[in-house]
Parts: sequence; C-alpha cells; structure tokens
Amino acid sequence: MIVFWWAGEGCGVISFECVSLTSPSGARLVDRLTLEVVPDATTVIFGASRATREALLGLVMKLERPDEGRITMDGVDIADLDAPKLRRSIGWLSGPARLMPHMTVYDNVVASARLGGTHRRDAGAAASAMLTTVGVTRTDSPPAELSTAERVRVGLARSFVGEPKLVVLNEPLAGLDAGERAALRPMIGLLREACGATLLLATGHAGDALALADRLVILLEGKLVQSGSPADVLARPAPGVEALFGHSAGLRSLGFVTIEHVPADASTLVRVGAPAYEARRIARGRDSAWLLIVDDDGRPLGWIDTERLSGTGPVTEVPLVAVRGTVTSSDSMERALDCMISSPAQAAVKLDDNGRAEGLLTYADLAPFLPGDGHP
Amino acid sequence: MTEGWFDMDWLRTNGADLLRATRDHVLWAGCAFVIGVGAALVLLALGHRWRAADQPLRMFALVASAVPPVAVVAALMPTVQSRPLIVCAIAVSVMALIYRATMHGLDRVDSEIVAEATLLGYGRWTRLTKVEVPLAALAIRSGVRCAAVASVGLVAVAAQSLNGGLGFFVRNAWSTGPRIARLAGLVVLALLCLLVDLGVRVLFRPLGPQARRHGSMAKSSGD
Repeated sequence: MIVFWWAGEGCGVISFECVSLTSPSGARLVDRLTLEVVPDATTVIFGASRATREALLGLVMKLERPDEGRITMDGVDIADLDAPKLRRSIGWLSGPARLMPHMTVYDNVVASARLGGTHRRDAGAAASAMLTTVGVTRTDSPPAELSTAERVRVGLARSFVGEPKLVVLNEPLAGLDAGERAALRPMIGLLREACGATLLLATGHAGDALALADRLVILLEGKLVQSGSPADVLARPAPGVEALFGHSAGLRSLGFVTIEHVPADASTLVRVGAPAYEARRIARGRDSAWLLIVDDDGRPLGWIDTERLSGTGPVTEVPLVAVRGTVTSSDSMERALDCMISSPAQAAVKLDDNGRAEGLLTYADLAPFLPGDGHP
Repeated sequence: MTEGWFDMDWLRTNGADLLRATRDHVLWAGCAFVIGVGAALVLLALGHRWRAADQPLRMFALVASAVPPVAVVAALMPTVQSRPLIVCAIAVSVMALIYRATMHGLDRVDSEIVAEATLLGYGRWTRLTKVEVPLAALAIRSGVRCAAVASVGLVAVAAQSLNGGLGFFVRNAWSTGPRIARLAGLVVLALLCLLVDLGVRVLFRPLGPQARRHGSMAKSSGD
C-alpha cells in the first residue's frame, strides 16, 4: 500500500532497522545497519566508500530498496510512501551542486520551494530571503555563470528553502578548495539551526566530517563500527577508524578542546607609551625577544622586537609587526596552536569578551591541558 | 513566348486565383502539420508512459523518416486521388520528423540533471515538462521547423493528387501560363516557407529564454 497523504510532518527522524543492500555486482554496500538519525542535529556518515555512502542516501531518498530490513521516517516505513512526495519533503543537495541549467539562480530556489509545498505567493519571498542568507547576489544569472562555491551556496539555499524537516546532503562541499570549505562549513550549521532541520550528511572528507557533525557515524565495509560525537570518536577511535583521519586523530582532537581553562600570561603585555628600557626588562624575563604592545584600552596593536630597541624613548620607535590571529576562551587548542605557529613571538594573544588582551599563551602554557591520559 | 517576367495586368487579372491557391495550400499544409504534431505528441506520450513502447516507436519513426516523404507521396499519386489520404501521408512524415528530433533532444539532456530533478521530487510528467523539454527545446524546435517547412513543400509536390494549391498553380503555369504566373507562384511558395519558419521560431521563444540568452541550453542539449 502506498501512503499518499504523508507530507513530511514530524521531526524528520530516520531509523535504519537491520538494513542491508547489495550492489548489482554482488558487493555488500550496507550490511545489517541499525541506526537512528538524531533529530534536530547533524549526523555525518563517514568512512564508508563512496558507493556505500551514495547507496545509504539512495535508500533514504527511495532510489534503492533494501535487500532486508526497513527504513522508517517518523515511524512510517518509507516503503509505504510515495517516492516523489517523500523526496519533495526532503531538502536535497549532491555536490558539486547540480542546478537546473535552464533556470536562473532565483528560479532554481523558487522551484524547490514550490516543490516543497510553499505557496506560490510565498515562494518568491522565501527564495529571496534564503539567497540573501547564503550570500548570493547574482540571482538573475544562470548557474553556468556562477563559480563552484556560488553554486554550492545556491544548492544549500535550494535544500533549506521551505524549511524541510529533513535535509540530506551528499558531499555538499565537493570540488571546493580548503578556504571555501572553511567558509561554507559554518553556513551549513547556521542554516540547519535556523530551519530546525534534521541533517543527514555523507562525506569522505575528514575535515568536513569533524567540523559539521554533531554525531559522527563511521561505516567500514558497509558495517557500523563507531558512532558518537567527533570528540568522543577522536578520543577513543575504534580499530581501523584512526586511519580514516590520516593517523592524526590526536592532533585533530585538539579542535574539540577549548582553551577556556588555560591561563594567559598578562605580564608580557607592554603599554604603547611605555619606555624602551621597560620593554627590554620584561623581555629579559622571557625566552623570546618579542612582546605584545597594547593600547591604553588594552587592545593589541602589534608585536615588537625588543632587540631592535636601543634608546630610552617609547617602545613605538620601531615599527610594529601586525598580530595575525587572536583567540578567545571559546576557541580550540588547535586554533591557539595555529596562532602560536604563525606569530613571531611563538605565542597566541588571548582576548577577553571585550576584545582586550588578557595575555599571551605559549606552548608551555598549553601543555598541562592537552588531552590524553593523565591530563584533563 | 514574348511576355516578360513581370506583368501587372496579369497580377490584377489572376491575383484572386493566386490567393485561392495560396489559401488552399496553407489549409492543406496546416492540416498535415497539425495532424502530424498531434500524432507525434501521442507517440511521445506513449513512449514516455510505457518504456516497452519506446523502442518500437523509435523504429517506426526511423523508417517513416528514412523513406523520403516526397517518394511516398509520388508513389501514392498515380493511384490515390484522395486529398485526405495525401494530407495524412504528409502528416506521417511531419510526425516522424518531430518525433525523432524530440527524442534526439531528450536523449541528449544531461542524465545527471534528470537524476537531480528526480531527487528533488519532480514526478515523471513534471520532470518532462519542467526540466527535460526546456533543456531539449532547441533540438525540438529544429525538428518542428523542419517539419513545418517540409509540410509546405510536400503539399506543393503533391499538386497532382491534391488538385490545387501553389504546386498545382505553378505546374499549370509551367505548361500553359505566362512567365509571371510561374514566378508569382514560386515567390509566394518561398515566402510561405519563410513565414512558417519564422512562426515556429516565435512560437518557441517562451520555452527557453535563459538558454537563448546565455547559451547554456546548447551545452545541455548538445544542439
């Protein structure tokens, strides 16, 4: 029996109950998978081969039928649902985003809104608002005139317009360089939160998986081997999982530990009007000749090399080196280490909530707080 | 024959006959074209609805368009004097041309775009009308233009059986009439073909404004 009335009401909870799928060539793509996708959160499928990931999403989108087991959505077996209606209730994007080439950017998003059930008179406004949110301004252009990153943005707008309860993304950031990926990752999270959608995402990119997941589901050879938060998975990877992160699970786990409890050394800050001999005295107490100059309000102005200070005048007699990156309490250790490496003083500038410098962080300051046995 | 190629007196005297021949020609060509388009749409719908019918229909269209339409009409002329039958024979040629061009255009639509449309929730018919046909519009338009002009030409060729139209007018003028009669008939026939071609172009303008403006449809349909 086909259920025609189902129109995507509910939370978008998908459950796989002992689902298996074999390819036409006989390869086991999904092997007795039992999994419940957490509602109102991002679940990332990672680790599996591309074929397995696509098969898994194909099962959700009803392109494939499981050999055994069943998939339910909000408690309803999707085998009983009308396929086009089911798909219209799900936001979908497969990277690199394939937009309809005969429609403008705006029309692509409007068409998706209309398919999702948005009324004709509201679809235009919803599309415009969503395109503004994702930062696309060339709405009258055909997709062929857009860059890959812009097409991904439009694809995201198309997926989330109409506020679907479930959004399925397959390699949404494929084809983008590292900078573009980093710029678009937060946008996916923001869109999901704004829509209150359940997001199911499949990727083979470890960086994307860790950055986007609330829950990471790791499949190996079609079998579920581990699931949990990215921090948990990195802290205690199951056998074979560490290799998926390029044997750098420990380093990557630093991205999930904040520097909230790491105290900053405020004694190494020098006011802009301070005399040079004062700066030289402070520098002698440190291993590094570099100090941070702050203005009268405590905001960082730049680094100064005390070895170049000769006279007794103010410290600003030599040019300052710009501060390239700062951290706050909510930033990760990974970010702090990155700032240290790129700083001439080998130190990260820690700011308070008002943007004033709390002090400097060095490798030695971080060491006691690094995750691992015997440490917090 | 001493008369010239241009004779206002002849035009004044025989203008009404020329107009009547033109009207008959447009009527028969129009009938054949409309029947052919209707039949092509029915075949396309059948092929789209029942996949099993697709290949036999393609074969039929291939055979119908491979046999030169002029030859079909010429073969029928000695024995068949029925106007409806001749019009239907021309309609079959029109149908085959449109069917083949449309299928060719639809086949060349990027399969990934079609798959994406399916995943977005387009049903079979919505996908056809909103995605596949607009993307194949240039190929379809080419087929329709070709078929429309062919229907005008074939009505002229089938002059003997139809016993009227511009073909009949020119043929009579060639044997018995003055030069101006041949010239006038041929010029009106050529203008008719140009007008039909222009009309089809105008008719298809709303189907793919983006593609024409930006050339993206050509990439998709390969036309």
